[in-house]
Amino acid sequence: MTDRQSKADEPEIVVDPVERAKLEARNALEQFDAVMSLVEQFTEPEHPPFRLRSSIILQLQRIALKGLSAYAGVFRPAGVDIGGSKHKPVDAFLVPSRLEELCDYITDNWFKTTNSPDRLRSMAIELDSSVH
Amino acid sequence: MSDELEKLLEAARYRPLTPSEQEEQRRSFAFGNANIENVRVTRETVDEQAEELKEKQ
Repeated sequence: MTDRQSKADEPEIVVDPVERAKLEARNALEQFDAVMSLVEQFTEPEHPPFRLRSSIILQLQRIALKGLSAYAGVFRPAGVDIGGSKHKPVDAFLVPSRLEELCDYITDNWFKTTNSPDRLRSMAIELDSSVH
Repeated sequence: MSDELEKLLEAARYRPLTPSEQEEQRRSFAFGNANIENVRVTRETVDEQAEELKEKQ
C-alpha cells in the first residue's frame, strides 16, 4: 500500500517577453468583459443589491494574471516591492483583511457617494494601492 | 468637482454607448491597465489580441 499524498499542479507561466505582452493585453480585454458581465448580472431587476466581495476582486485578479503569475486568483504569500516606487504595500498576512475592509468601504459608500463617483473611485484606488 | 465636469458626468450617465464606442472603451481599458505594468503592451498589441479573440468567438 502506498502513502496517500496530494500534489498540487504548477500553473504554466509564459516567460517570453513578447508573448507575455500579448497575454497581458488579452487578459485585460477579458477582464473588461468579466466586469461588464458582472454589471449586467447586478443590474438585473430581481438581483439583490450590489456588494463588492473579495471573491470578485480575486476573480478579476485571476483573469488579469492567468499565465503570468503563479498567484493568479489567490492572495500573494509574501511581501512585494513596486519597482520605481517608495511605497511599501502591507505584509502578505494582512492582505485578506485589508481587502475585506476595502470591499466594505466601497459597498457602504456606494449609495452615499453616487453624486461624487470620482471621490469613491479615488478612495478605492488609494486603498487598493496600499494593499497591492 | 467642477460644475462643468459634473454636467458632463450627468450627461454621460444616461447616454447609451454604441457597440463601437463600447469596443473603443474596452480596448482603451485594456491598454491603460496592461501598459502601466508592461510598456511592451502597445495599442497595436491590444488591437491584435482583440481581433484574435473576436475570431475565436
